[in-house]
Amino acid sequence: MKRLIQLISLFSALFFLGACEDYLTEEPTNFISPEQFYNTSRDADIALIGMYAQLSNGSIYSRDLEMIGMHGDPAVSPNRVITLAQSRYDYSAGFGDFANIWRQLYALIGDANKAIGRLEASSLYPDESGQFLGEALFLRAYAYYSLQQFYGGVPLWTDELTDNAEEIATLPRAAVEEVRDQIIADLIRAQDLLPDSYSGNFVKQRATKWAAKSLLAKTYLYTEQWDLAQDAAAEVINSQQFSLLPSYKDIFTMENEFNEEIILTVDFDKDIKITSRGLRYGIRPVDEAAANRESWMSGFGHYVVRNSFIDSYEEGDTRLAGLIFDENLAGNTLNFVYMAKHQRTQEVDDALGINFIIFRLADILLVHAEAAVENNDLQAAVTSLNRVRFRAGVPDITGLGQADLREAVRQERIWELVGENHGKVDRMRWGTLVEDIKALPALAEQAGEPVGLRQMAQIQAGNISERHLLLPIPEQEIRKNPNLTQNPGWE
Amino acid sequence: MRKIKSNVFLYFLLLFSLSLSAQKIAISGTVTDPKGVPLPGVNVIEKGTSNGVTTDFDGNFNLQVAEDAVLRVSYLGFKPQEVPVTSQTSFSISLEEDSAQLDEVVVVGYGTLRKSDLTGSVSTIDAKDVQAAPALNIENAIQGQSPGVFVTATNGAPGSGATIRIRGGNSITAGNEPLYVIDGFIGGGNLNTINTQDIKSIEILKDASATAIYGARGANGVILITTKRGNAGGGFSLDAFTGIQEIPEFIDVLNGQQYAEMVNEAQAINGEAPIYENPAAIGEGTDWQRLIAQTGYVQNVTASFNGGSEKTKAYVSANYYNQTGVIRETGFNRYQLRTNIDQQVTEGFKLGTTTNLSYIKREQEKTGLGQAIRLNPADPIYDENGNYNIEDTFSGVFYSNPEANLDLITAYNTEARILASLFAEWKITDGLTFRPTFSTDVSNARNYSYTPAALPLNIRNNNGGSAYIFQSENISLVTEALFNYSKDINENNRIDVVAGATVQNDNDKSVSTTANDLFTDVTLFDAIQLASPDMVSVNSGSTERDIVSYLGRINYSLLDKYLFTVTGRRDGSSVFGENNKWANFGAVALGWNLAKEKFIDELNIFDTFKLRASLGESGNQGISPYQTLGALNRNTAVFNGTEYVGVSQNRLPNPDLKWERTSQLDIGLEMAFLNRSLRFEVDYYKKTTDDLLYDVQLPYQVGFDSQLQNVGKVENQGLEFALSSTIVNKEDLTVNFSINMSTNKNRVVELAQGLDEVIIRRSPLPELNPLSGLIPGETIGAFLGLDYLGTWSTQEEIDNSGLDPAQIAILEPGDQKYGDFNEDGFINNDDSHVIGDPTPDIFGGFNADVQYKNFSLAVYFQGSYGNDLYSIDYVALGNGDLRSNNYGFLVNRWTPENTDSDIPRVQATRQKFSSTADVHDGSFLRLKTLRLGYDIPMESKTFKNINIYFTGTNLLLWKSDEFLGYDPEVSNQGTSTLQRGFYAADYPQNRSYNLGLRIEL
Repeated sequence: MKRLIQLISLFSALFFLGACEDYLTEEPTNFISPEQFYNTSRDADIALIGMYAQLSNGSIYSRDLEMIGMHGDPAVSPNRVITLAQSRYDYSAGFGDFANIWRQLYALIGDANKAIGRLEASSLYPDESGQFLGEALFLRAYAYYSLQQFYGGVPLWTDELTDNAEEIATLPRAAVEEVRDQIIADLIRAQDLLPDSYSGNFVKQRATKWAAKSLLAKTYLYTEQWDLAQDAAAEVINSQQFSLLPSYKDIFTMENEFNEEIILTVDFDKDIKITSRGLRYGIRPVDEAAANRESWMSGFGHYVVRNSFIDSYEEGDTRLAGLIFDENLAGNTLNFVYMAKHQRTQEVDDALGINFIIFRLADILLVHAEAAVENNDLQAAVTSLNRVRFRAGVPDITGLGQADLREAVRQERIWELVGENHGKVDRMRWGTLVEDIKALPALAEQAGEPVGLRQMAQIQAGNISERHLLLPIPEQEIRKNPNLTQNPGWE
Repeated sequence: MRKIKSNVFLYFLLLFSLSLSAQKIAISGTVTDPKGVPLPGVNVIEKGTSNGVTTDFDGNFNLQVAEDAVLRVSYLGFKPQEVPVTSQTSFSISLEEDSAQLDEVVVVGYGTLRKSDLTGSVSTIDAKDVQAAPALNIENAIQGQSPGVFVTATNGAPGSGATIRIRGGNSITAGNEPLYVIDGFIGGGNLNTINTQDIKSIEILKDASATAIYGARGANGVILITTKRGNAGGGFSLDAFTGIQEIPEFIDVLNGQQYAEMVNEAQAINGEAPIYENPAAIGEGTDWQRLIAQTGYVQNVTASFNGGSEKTKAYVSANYYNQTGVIRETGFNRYQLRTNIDQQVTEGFKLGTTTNLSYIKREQEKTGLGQAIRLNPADPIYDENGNYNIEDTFSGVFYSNPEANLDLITAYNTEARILASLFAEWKITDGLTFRPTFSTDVSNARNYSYTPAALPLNIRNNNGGSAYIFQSENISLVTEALFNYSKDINENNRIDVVAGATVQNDNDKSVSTTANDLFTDVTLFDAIQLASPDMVSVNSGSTERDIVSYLGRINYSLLDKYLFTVTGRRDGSSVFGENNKWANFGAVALGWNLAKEKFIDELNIFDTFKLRASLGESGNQGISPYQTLGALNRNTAVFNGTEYVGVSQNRLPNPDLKWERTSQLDIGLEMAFLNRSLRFEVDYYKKTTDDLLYDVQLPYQVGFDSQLQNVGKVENQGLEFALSSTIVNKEDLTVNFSINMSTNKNRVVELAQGLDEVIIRRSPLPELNPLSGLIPGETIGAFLGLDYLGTWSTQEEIDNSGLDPAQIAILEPGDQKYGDFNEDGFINNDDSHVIGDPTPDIFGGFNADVQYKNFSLAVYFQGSYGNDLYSIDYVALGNGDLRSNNYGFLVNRWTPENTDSDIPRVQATRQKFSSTADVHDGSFLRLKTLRLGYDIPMESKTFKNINIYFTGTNLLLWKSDEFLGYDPEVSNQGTSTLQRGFYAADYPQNRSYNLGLRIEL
């Protein structure tokens, strides 16, 4: 009988174990949950690195966002993949890349919101959280900046995601002005929290006070707050932190990835993260026959510079040397002239480890010039403009009126920044993209471009319309969240 | 290796010799039922000793006993008999049926029941039928053996498993494979570690009444495997076979000359010079398929010992299995040892252990037939310098040379596993038993692979060798306490109650190490420290899962006519959301033994006539741990040449996540006639699964792609039919026959809110049109595509097609002619519709066995009818696309001279949609196993029986002419829940011829 009692008590112990809820509570050790995080400055640092990492992934600057910024720029054409919808302007709202960009930028926003919320609630706040909070604010602003640049107004949320997923999932698009106001508010807050510079391996890849001010200046161009834009750009220019390199070509070399002209860059390294900006770049044909092709050539080099664009440069402009390769590896002159910026030239190894420049001083000088023109501060505009022209080896511009100077500054931006994801978005902002693309067939004819480039010019000019000044909201997003409305012309 | 084998053998000889007792007098005999049918497996024991044997297949026994001994002969379902040994040495013993025990006993969840008392749908597979096939694991051996159970080999590689659907698939993400319970251990792991020779019975639980006792894990059906235990008496047996295996048939692709001519034809169309100057000189070229194939070889040895005393009984067996595959450098090895011991400690108290130790090693495939059928047959294996050729002579593309891979790559997996349990059984009072069990399943699995620097592509790209090691350690502990109360209250009332609780904890840990750019090939993966430190990466992980359950079942039988079963289980699982850890499952069932009713009995037709019906609910918890929690994952960034670790959140928590629930109605009818020589069983079932676990796409603006939620509904219904018959039952001749057939209709009822379609898979570039999907009203994973109508014969036909001018402009004679399904004038993705169903209309199998004197013959056919298969290879090999080789029938392709052909012209690659051309009839019937045995006649005191046998597998196969693969029974996507019925040139099922010998002592 005694044994029976023992057994029964053992059995009841088993029941008791089951009844104990804690036994079924999961305590994972193979990952961290958000609740276990953001307690130390080390945690905060790691959270920030996780956010910077997103800038170099396939949806942002190692592919999708970079491609939509580059393809369809009137100055360049794809070499081989003539079916690329971005280049041809024949994409639809269902095009996958646009959903990827949307997704990744919102993932970054979600992480930034989480970090901001957690940091403000942590014991680090306010004394030890400063820089991290500033960086998170900057990255959120940058993500919203990119979204408004391509899509216009987008759903806007800044709270930490907790049990409010349903609410966020049904948000409609905010007005684009609201989005820009949020960007500006974040950057104004961030610029006081961020340091002037970083040390060690963190050279130009993390947000500084100057990166925040650069983005602020560019955002003011969108809000047409010209005086604020001019002031913010001037602060960057006068910070003494950055200077123009004497040689334009040197800005883009592998050896010189963190040169003093650069304000903010996304770091790529092909040996460490082999996913970086890979495979689309590379082989220039070796044989002469391929070099002379009129139609699309083999090889995977991605961007070709239009001959008409090359011809547009002024006599003696040294920037061309940094922009193009016009010979193949065997020394034959290429019919299709490769873009040298951000390109790699080795035969075998396709991956590209060169950094993606987000802001550099020449860009900000031209932002300053553009804002100053609109403020009718023509003297300031000319000063900044001529600093850029001087380095390019072309004569100073003098004596232009406001309208002509506006054109000159815009043209300078196109020449200076081609291949750096500015040409197309600037034209979208100026509203000149459609007319510039429509003008391409005549220019291509005039410049005697190879057949392939002329065909592409015609395809582009035939397809483009005003609706291309914004990307369509991804179709699947509208399906998942019926509160989203489509951009004009894409319904 | 050979040394280990002989050691195992010696060890068993030693064990065996220990069991030999002192010689007395030798007796022999035969045990039969009242009709003279020999009874195998009958216990014959010298009363009062541990000396005893069981009868062999023909009911014979040999035994040495004391001169004045009394034999106790006992067998389930028969009255035990005591036979005194006097001067007689040869016995013919006829056992009387025990009406109270007439029934077979069936293993059910957490207990056993008389078959006549059963109210659920349970199929029993005779261990003999499983063991007749020379199969490595039971999955492949139970194909076609049970109605409602659809088994498909994932592929034919040595050691590969199968995918099993019991009454159709319920789930869309949480897994549809059944629950395996090995000797009561839930989820007892890798079935390759279990020797089929050790199996006593396999029961398949199908309806809710049978599966509800497994609660949250029962929804996909349950396969109970019971291994043999010791009998008093017993004996020793040695079973060994060896055989050869081959690929029955190769895929017909173009030979070198044919491909070269096709390339030249394409060049001519483009106005370019021929690539191959003289195709005829190439002749056959390289037959890449046969290059990597070989004749395989298998050997299998099982030695088992079964015996003990009345108090201590043991079953011990050891197995060595060695197979080389039909593709070079593939193979499988197993070393396995089982020890099942029962000890009667006191009258009412018994202890027992079950232990299975195993070590398996499996060679990974170094190269595949999928590549072999695609490679350019005009390419040589070696270039003119005698190096491996790696540059396609047509396209100039570099490829990985199969011969080089076979010669140079090292890659294999190993697993060591212990499945062990200890139980006690204590009869507390009359009818009340308490049975606590403690079980463990411990395994240690490893993958090793090395791709050397010497591989030609690595040499070309100047890469060093790459080593990879993966190790995982999995520990599963189960504690179980069961009370059983079984009582014949009086003649008319019988009750059987089970109540219990179990706690299970599964813990998996893993480490993987990768090293790249090793400078030497000498050390393989065995000295990773020689790699440059920045070329080594290590990952580790761990997951844990806890399940706590309470279970109970009451079976009540009134007058042996009316049967009632109530089952319940309450499960708590750690993997579910904080708000839904616990769930209740249960079933009720009724049975009516009509044969016991007077009005039926008087008809004198039925030996059994039973109706049964059940209704109940079980669940599916097949998701990984931690899915309900938010997680931050590694996301690294590079800063100035150094990689920094960062994290970002990649999973949204869902505290409401809960189990999938499957409710099932089953109605069954069992009948037996003509003295039970004809038996018949039919079942109808309907299952509905709610709260499907599904990764619902979120608006990306939330910052996450998806969240696992409970949405949607799936329905299955079907009919199952089984018939078995003893056609002839005479002394010298017995003939048995059995057949089973099933149908299952699977249907998606609804998806997540607002979703009318989920695309599972799309066709390759350029079209990317939907290829399979989830569509309400259709089967899970229905095939989608366009109608393929042959080719456009002439430009005139295109011009008169009535299509839109823009569509006409891109068509050329010889292009694929697809149907404009929506009649909008364009041929595009909008013309996609359902074009195939991967589930069969009917599937099943039949067994026939004949015993004539010392000869026995068993054949086993298995097949399915009406299922469609989708060829993954067709798009590449059936459209004249020269980026790969093509099917042989492309020699009849469209050309300007052969405009009536249904086969596209060369390079018809402009529009390649998923279409009916990719979907092929998957019906087949195969002679899966044929076994011919012969018992060597002898009068021996030592040997009870010696049997030599031949077994052949896959000897005959009837399949559709449309089918273009090796074997229509395939699952290219493994056990994937959503992607069924895909085929490619995967590792084929082999045809084997084996010779074996079985010795019983």
